[in-house]
Amino acid sequence: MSEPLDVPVALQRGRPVGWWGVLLLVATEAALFGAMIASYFYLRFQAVHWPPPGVPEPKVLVPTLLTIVLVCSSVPAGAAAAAGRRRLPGRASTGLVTTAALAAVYAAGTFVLMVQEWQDSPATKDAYDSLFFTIQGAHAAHVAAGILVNLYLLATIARGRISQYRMNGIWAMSLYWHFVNALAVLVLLTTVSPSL
Amino acid sequence: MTDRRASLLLWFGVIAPPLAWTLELVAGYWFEEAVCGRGSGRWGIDHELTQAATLVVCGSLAVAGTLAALAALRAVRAGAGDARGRVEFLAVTSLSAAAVFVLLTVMTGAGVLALDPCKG
Amino acid sequence: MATVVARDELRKLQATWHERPGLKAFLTTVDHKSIGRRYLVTASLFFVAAGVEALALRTQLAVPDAGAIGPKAYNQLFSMHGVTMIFLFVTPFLSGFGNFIVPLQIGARDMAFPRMNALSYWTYLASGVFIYSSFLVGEAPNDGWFNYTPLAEKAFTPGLNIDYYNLGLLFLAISSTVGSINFIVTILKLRAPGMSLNRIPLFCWGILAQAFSLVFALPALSAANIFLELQRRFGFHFFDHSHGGDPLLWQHLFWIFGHPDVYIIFLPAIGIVSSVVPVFARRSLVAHDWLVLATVATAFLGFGVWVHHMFATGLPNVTFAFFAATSVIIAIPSGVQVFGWIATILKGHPVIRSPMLYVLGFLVVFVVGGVTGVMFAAIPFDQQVTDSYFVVAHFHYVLFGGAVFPIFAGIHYWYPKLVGRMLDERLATWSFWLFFVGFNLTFFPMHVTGLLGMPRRIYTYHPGLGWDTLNLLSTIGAFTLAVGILGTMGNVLRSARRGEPAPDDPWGANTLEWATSSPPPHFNFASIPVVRSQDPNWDVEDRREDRRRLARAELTLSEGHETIGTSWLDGDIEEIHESPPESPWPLVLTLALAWFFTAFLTGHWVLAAIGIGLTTAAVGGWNLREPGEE
Repeated sequence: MSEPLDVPVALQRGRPVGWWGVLLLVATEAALFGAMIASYFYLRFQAVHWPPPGVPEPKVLVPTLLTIVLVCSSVPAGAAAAAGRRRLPGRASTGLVTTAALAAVYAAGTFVLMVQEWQDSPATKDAYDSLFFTIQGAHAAHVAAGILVNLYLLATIARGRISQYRMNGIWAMSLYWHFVNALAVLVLLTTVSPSL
Repeated sequence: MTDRRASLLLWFGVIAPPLAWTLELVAGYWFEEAVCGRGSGRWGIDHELTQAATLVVCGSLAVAGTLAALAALRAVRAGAGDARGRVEFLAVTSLSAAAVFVLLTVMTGAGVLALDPCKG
Repeated sequence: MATVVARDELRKLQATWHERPGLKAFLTTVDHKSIGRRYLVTASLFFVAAGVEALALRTQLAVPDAGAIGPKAYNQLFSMHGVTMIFLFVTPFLSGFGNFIVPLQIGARDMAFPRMNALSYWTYLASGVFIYSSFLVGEAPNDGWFNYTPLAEKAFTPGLNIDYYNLGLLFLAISSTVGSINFIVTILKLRAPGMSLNRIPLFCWGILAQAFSLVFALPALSAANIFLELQRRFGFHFFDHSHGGDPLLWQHLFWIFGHPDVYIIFLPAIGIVSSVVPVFARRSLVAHDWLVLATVATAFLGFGVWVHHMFATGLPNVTFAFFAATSVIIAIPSGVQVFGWIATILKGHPVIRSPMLYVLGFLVVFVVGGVTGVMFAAIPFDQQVTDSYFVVAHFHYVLFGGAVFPIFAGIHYWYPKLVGRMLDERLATWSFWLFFVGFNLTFFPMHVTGLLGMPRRIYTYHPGLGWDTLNLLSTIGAFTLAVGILGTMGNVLRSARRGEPAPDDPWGANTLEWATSSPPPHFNFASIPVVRSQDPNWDVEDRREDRRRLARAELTLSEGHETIGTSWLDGDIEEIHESPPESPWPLVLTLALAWFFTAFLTGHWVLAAIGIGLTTAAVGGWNLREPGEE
């Protein structure tokens, strides 16, 4: 009956609840993008011409290069989490900054591309363009939010100390980056699919 | 049977049958949409081939999951498992669920193959 | 000696968890019990609003060619009745129970994310007020709760009606998503030591299944809302044929959410039934494991039946075939549950008190609704009666029967724990019978009016179609039902002051919420209970051991704002979980979001952009200080 029930104060065996929370956030976001990408193909199956006549085929090369840059950011994000768990503020900061920098290259590049594409054929033209810009825009917004959170986390550990709370934050954030990066590949494959 | 193997079997039994049904619904339904779409209908996707393949793959996965659940339950009844009954709980429920999912996968697949595509 | 230790521990816990009453605590509290009570009160107000709307509709339909309400108001009233009942009453009310009861049932001191919990309440309140403010400008949502395109497009509904709908539901989606994630992590990670997966109470399983359904289903609705709003506001194209869109895309997205939503409403409600039945049948649930399986399987299968709402849209037969088999099979888990409850009652020694009355009423009503549900899975039958009053009868039997009856059972069952006083049993019995008779009198005749051809969503009808008497009966029933509900409300209000004080466990119940005082202290349990069966409160020796543990200052965690974190499968102790104290940020963040949505609604884009900035700043402010750092 009476197994010993003293709990050591510093005990932590599982992943923090914040990590679980972000896992579920990621799941619900995945469902959101799933719904948008499914809508894209649903309308595409109905369309005789996709993209419709007069709309240029989607560019492939530059978006692919940008996506490769973004996907690489999973490495520093993972390194930041590992450093956070070992309470090494210097390494964690490097990881956070590198992740944010790679993501910023992607975000800026995507923004410039989207502005050009909008000038060629705006989202208000037809359903193809509406989905093209909505899906890309939604993903870019996720990258931008991630950059902001990374910079915020960086500021919180600037005093050279990583508390349990901030460590959980960095750990959970690495999960978010892995998700956003995997999603980038799916979004890329969807949006460039007419040119493949 | 080692603990690790028993645990893998158990989880395969829990996950595979519902996954099989999900895959059949998603893949089968998308193939159907693609076959009948005004645009994609010209891509020449074969209705019977895709649906039969979906049924075979998903049906096998569901059956495999059921066998795994059965083996896991036998292992539990033979004395593996845990004091709290958590493993037995998962084994019993996954086997019951597996039966339903096998039935569903086969019913859906058979119904789809029996009908002419794209006719309302 | 032992009692001195216990008293000392209790004093420390009291000091740590106490919130000084006052305006500040009101606005900043994160106590799951306060938030749960608020959910219940707020949702009750929306219930009253939806009820008043329903009575207005029934008054208009009482006699043919009535002129009480014109078509414009009628459209808004029936749409808002649906939106309110589904989004603003049933789901949040069940979240209210979930908030109050779940941490108690699993032996925790709060939810996993207490501030997020406050956020989900405030955003719920704000989005409800946002949607209802549409009445002030006379442009409430008016295209039904499922808001089909093309009717909902700008060309056909040019007012703000549908913008209120889209933005209001997106706002509410924040609340539901945050709340669901919180429930899942709480139930998976904060259970009492020893509460392995097979020992989780069935109400918690219901909430867990609901929360998972919301996490995966709600994004489809949000995507649809975003698409439609982009189309209405900025001229995007998703649902209009003229530019490559498809109106059926709305129906797909809506029902990928909408059918799981039926179970989102239903699963926690039957969790209440599974809580009440064993207590009043005086024995453990028969086929417990299968009832858990049925709950989870229903939630899962619920994702594979959405096209059965579209059987009359002219899609190919093969498409229907994917969804027809599942629509039939999904009746199996419900059947398993019904038989499980009946077997438990038959094998036990049932005691009929008011919670049990509502459960018995539920069983009768729900079986009727289930039977008509199976009829719809037969596609030719569905195509005959679709959009008729037969459908209205069916879904009120499953939703009112399947959710509101159990909710009333829950009110009568948990009232002593929530308020610390007992309800008046005689008044409760009278109210029940009015409720039960009124419900059946309202909705049973609708089966017949539907079969006689009366369509849904018409504001009046001509005499001589054979619908007159049946409609009058329905209206009389609606007012009878309303009297029954008023009886319960009167009972709830009166007993809060005059009811007999409730003991810790007035029903002799099996779950942990009854192992602490009524109402519970801020810290819920002085020493975290340790669990060794599915019916922990019936393990008298274990509960004595909890008290002895308090006297030894074990598992009291009195040094901080703490509870125990355990492993998700077996409930083994993993960590001491630091629980953040009260915070103003959930409210601030909600206000920032409300700013954004209001600015967007009224088309002030600069203000909307400022709203996004404010929201970002509020998220930053939220995390500036760490919990425990002052």
